[in-house]
Order: sequence, then C-alpha cells, then structure tokens
Amino acid sequence: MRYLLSRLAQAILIVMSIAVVVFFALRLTAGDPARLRGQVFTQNSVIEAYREQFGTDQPLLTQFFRFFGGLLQGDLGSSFRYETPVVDLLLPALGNTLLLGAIALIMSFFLATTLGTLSARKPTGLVARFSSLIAVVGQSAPLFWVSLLLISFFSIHLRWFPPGGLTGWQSLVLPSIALTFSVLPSQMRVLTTSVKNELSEDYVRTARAFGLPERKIAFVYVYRNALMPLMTVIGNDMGILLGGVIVAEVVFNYPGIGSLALTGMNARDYPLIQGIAIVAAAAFVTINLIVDLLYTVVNPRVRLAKVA
Amino acid sequence: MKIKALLKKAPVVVVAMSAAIALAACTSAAPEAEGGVSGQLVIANAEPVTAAYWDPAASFGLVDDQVASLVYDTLLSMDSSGKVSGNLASDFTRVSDTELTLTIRDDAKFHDGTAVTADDVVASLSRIMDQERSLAKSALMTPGTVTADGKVITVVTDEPFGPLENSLANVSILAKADIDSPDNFKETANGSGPYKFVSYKGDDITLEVNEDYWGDVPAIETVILRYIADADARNNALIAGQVDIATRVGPNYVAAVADNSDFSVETVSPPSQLVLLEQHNGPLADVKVRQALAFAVDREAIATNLMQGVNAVGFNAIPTSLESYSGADEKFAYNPDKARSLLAEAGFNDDLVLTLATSTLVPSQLEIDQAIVQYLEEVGITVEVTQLEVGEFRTTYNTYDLSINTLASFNNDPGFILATFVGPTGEAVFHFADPAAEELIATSNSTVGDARNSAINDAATYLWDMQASLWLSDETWSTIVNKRVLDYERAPLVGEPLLVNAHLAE
Repeated sequence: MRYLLSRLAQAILIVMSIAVVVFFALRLTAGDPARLRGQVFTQNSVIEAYREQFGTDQPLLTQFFRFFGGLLQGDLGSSFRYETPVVDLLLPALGNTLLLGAIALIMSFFLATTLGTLSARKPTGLVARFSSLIAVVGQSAPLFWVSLLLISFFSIHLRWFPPGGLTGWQSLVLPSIALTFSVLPSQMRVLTTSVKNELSEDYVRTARAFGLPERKIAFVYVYRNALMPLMTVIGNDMGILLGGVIVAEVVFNYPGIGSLALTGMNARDYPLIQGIAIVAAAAFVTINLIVDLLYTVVNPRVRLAKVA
Repeated sequence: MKIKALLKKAPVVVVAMSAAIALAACTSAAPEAEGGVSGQLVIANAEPVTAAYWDPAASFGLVDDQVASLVYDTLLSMDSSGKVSGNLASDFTRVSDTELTLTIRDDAKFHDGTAVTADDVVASLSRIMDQERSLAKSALMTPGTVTADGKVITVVTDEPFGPLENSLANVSILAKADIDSPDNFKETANGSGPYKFVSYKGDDITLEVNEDYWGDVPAIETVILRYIADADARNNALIAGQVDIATRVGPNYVAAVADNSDFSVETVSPPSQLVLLEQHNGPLADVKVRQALAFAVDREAIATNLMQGVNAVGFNAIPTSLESYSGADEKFAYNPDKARSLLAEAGFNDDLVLTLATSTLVPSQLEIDQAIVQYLEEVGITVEVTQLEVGEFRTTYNTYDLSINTLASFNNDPGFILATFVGPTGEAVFHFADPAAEELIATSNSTVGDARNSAINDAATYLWDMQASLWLSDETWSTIVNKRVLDYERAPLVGEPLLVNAHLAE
C-alpha cells in the first residue's frame, strides 16, 4: 500500500510538472492564437478582441496562475478554437484513442505471444521465418506508409473497409492493423528471445524428463517467465502508440486525441493542447503504474522482493 | 505436411482473428456512402469551423460561411455568374450613391418559429455597419445607418459605397433577440434559411432541411459539413464514396480525377489570388526592385508546371474572374535581362539579399517558392529561405521580405481585396502606405454604378504598375463533386448558397 501511495504521489508530481513545462513551452512557441483565428487581412480591432477573449493580452504570470488555479480545481479551461470546455472535447476523443490503442495492443500482444513462442520453439520453421519478415518490414515501414497502403488496397480497391472516420466497427479495422504492425515487431523479438532463454533453463529440461507435453511446457511454464520482459516493452509501447496514434488518426481521419492535438497545435489553441498534454501524461503514467503493479501479479518473486 | 501440422497446432485465437477479419470483409458491403439515397450530402472541408459560436458576423472562414449561407438568409442573393438579385428582400432600389431601399418579404420565419421582421434586419445590419464594433464582417460594409418603415428598409451609408449590393448578398440576417442575447449563439444557429442547424459533434456539422422555408425547399434532406484535416484522407474519402463533395482541392487532386467519370470539377469560386507578398520596409521599398522581381519570375511557367494549369495568370492586381478585371498594358513578362537592368538602376549588383518564408499554407507552396528562389538567383538576388510551420508562418510572415499568401474576396467584389493595401491592414500585411493608392482605392469604393469598373481598374492598375506585390496567378478554389450530386453549382462566394438547387441521383 505504501508503495502504491508513493507511486501515485510520483505520478501526480510528474503530471503537474509536465503541465507547467507545456504551459511555458507553448507561449514561447511562435504563433499568435488571435492572429490565427482570422484571415490575413483581419482588422487589428478584431485581433485585439480575440486576445482579450483568450486572455493572451494578460501578463504571462497572470495567465499561469489562472491556468494553474483552474487545474487544481479540475478545470482545464475553454478551447480558443471551439469555445467549449476542453474536458468536453477531450473525453470523447480520448475514449476513441484508447479504444484504438487497446485493440492494437491486444492484437499485438496475442500475435507476439503466439508467433514469438512458436518461433522460439522452432527457430528455422516457417512461422519463425514469417515472423522475422514481419519484424523487418514492421520496423522499416513508416506507419503512414502502411496506413496509406491499407487504405489504397482495402478501401479504394476492394472497398471492404471505409478509408477513414469512425462510422462503425469497420472503421477500426484498418487503423488498428496499422498500429499493431508498428508495435508488433519489438514485442515479437523480445518474446522470442525471452522464450529461447527460458527453454534452455534447467526446469524445462526437468519438465521434459517428466514427460510433460511440449505445448504445455511452452505455454504454461515457459511463457509466464518469459512474459516479464514483454511487459516492460508493452509499457514502452504505450508511448509509441500515443505518438503513432497521431499519425494514424490523421491518415485515417480518426476522431481521436491525436488529430485533436494537431488541430489544436495548428490553431495555437493553448488550453486544448495543455489539456491533451496533461491527459496524455496522466494516461501514460497510469498505464506504466499498472504495468509495474502487474509485475507483482505475474511474478511472485517480485512481490516478495518488494515486501522484503 | 509441415503446413498441415502447423495449422493443427496453431492457437485458435490466431485463426479466429483472421477469420473475423475475413468475415468482416466478405459480409461488409462496399463502405456505404454516407451520402447515399437516404438524402444525405456530405461535404469534406480542409478546415474546421472557426468557432462553435454561431454568429456569422463574428468571423471569416470557409466553414463558417458554409453554415451561414445555408442556415441564415441574406437580403440579396448572388447567382453563379455573380449577378445580384432579391432574396429575403423581394426587391431593392439604389436611390442614390449613399442610399439603398429594400422591401422585405413577410412570410419568412426563423427556425424557432418567430417571424423575420424589419427590426431583425435593422439590428443585423446596424451591428455590422457600426465600425466601432470589432466584428469581423464589418470589413464587408461601411459606416452608416439603417432604418425601417414598415417592410421597407433604408440603408444610408456615410459615404458612397460601391460594393453595397454585393455585401448584402453576404451579410446574414439574424434575430434581434439573439443579437441582444449573444449567449444564444453558443447553443445554435437560429436563422431563417433553407437548412436548420442540428448539431456540431466531433468533426461533423449536421444541418437538416427547413420544411417551412419561405422559398423552394431543398431536395436534399441532410447536409453534413465534415472536417478532414489531411488532404490524402479527404481525397480517399471522396473516392471511396464516404463524402460527396471535397472543397478547395489542390491542383494535384484535380488532375488525379480528370479522367475519372465518377467526378466532376466545379471551378466557380470566390475571386482569389496567389500573391507573393513583398514587405515595403526593406529593399523592396524601391519600386525598381519590385519591378525587377516581376520580370525575373516566369509566372506562366509556374502556373503551367506547378499548378497543373488550373490557375489563370492575370495581368492586374485583381483576379481575372472579376467583371472589372482588365489586363494592364505592362505585362511584366518574363525577362531576366530587364530584371538585371532594373536592379542595376536601383544600385544592386549581385549583392541584393532577401529573406523568404515558406510553408505549406497553399498547395505546392514549397515547390513554388523553390522555383521563385531559382529565378531570383538567376538575376543575382540571394534569397535566404526559412521554412516555417503553418501556424508560425501565418503569424510571422510579415517579418520576412517575401512570402506567399492568398488574397480572396468574400463578397465577389474587388474592393475587398484592394482594401488589403490601405490603412492599418496595408501597414500590417505589407508595411505599405501609399497615399496615391489609398486615394484611388477609396475612389473605387465610393464609386457606384457603371463608372465603378473604370475606377476599380485605375486603382488595380496603379498597384500593378508599381508592383505593390507580385501577383503570381489567380487561385481557383476547385470543388470536386461526385456525379450522383446533380445540379450542383456555386456562386462566387465562400459559402454554398446555391446548394439548395442540388439534388441526389436516384
């Protein structure tokens, strides 16, 4: 419990620090939100009115205290561009992104598990070679290229799936495949190596000597031990997914937090970008905390070591 | 044998996942075009609405004007050729250079059921014509007063104002009650137009037909205005049938559908130009240097090779699509020798250095800027190029000697574009202040009737001859339309007021 509380406190501190850094970094970035609301020829009086509306005519510290005071009360402010509370924009977009990310992560986990284990058991087999090919292509091919290829073939040519948007479950297929492809190679490689190491352990030799079936040895005994490094990679993949999801969301016009961030950045929508940064940081920190806690579930030795 | 063995051993989940995807592929029909026979039309836009604040006077923007043109009425309307006629005003008369009377119809209602009255018209126009207010659309009008006598509205401008009728085809009529309680605009757009505002969720603005419209009720039941940021995603959505119309499409995408019989390209658009903005607070303050740049750059080659011939090259300071356009005598045709000669006269001998900001604001901007740099370097001008992200570019362009931008008219009147070169706007955009230009532009704005075209031409030609900036070409706002949308046409305005005439194929 003490460990959990300490980790929570750390998480809050990290998120708050990120919020402060993002606040100042945004205001140091070139680009005036008021100017970007209008056209080239917008009158100065209109621009001044926008500045007053946004609060960007106030001194920097005044803006900061207003922002931080709101943050402590759970108020992320109002979007410059959409003129609605940031929370109202963020929550649906976050839900869409988490859905896509979760599908990609689950798919990559199962594929990495299956292909990684099979590849480790028979390194020269067909599955191992296929997995190797996927790994090379997946790590070489940029996400946007894979996305465009999928759209070109499955949407434009075959017309099996929509090329973008979120109109139903079919809209999730192509972007989740693209995202899965971006994180699968690293997971597969880690699991393959980890399983190979475990397969050379004494307890495996013993299990074989006792006549246990290979499948049971691999997927029940070896797999659980080999899972630890994979969980570390999955924790890192959260960050990769959060970054990659921006690309996927733009290419697939998917209404998630990535495309919202891009719109916000183009408009210098400070409250929106701050809100996204805070929520993304909180999500990332929380997921890593969950992964850390899962270590203790998967490997009792870690739990005992912590208790000691 | 090995494969059989493998299949037997493969975990069920892998096979099940593959089967699920295959099943989805087989059972899903071709992605059902959302604008199918259900009477729904989807328009894909490259930008979102400026703000979820439905006051059409508060901002300029492509989507803002689309919503305004469908949800609100204007006193006058404009057809595809730019001809102005009555709309909410059943007739109108230009009484004098400063006075216009309009008779409003008595059968129009706002979507909340209240009648459109003279008070609503007076309030809508007065707030725009009050130059003290910082409403964006005040740029369309001029100071003056608006009064009503029964159904007759009298607009009196402080000075003669030539674009008045054109502007009235662009100024929306709002309910006085909403003007008095601006918070209402946050909830909905309460107009009297052919479509009602339904919702703004995510990237979609949904409008539905107004069955009680005083005019011809549109044939298309629902219109969705969808923001798709990425140009490729927009194009994919169009080709896959997810959207029916894509607005402001770049020349590359126009060329891509040239041989595709499923689509047509609509080129009627707001008068607009691609301009190389030249800042007059540095070496470009010298007219000889500016004219040298004009001779140094082969605009026709750029238009042909980098814009796929989509954009016309003009020879004056206003777009060629305008009635008042007339090509100037001096064409500034590509002539590097003449450019070098002018530079020498200005005192530069291969030692002129200019800064240029480039970005991706307009289609092919990077390529066009690259070509311009090469042309300038051929005549001995060194160009220091800085590539900026779009947001930074839009804010800091005027700190660089050269930058490309778009100048468009929101009311199909050249005055709107020429106004960029005067007063505080001229200072802000170009660091430009020329009393002669101000006088000519003011004269063109205050000239009414048949003499106006001549006055506009004088002002435009003056700016052109002194090369106040380098006019690269017109900028055609191409619209790609799925052929299932019949009788689609555009007015030379930013919005879609003529969408009401369209219908969907059975």
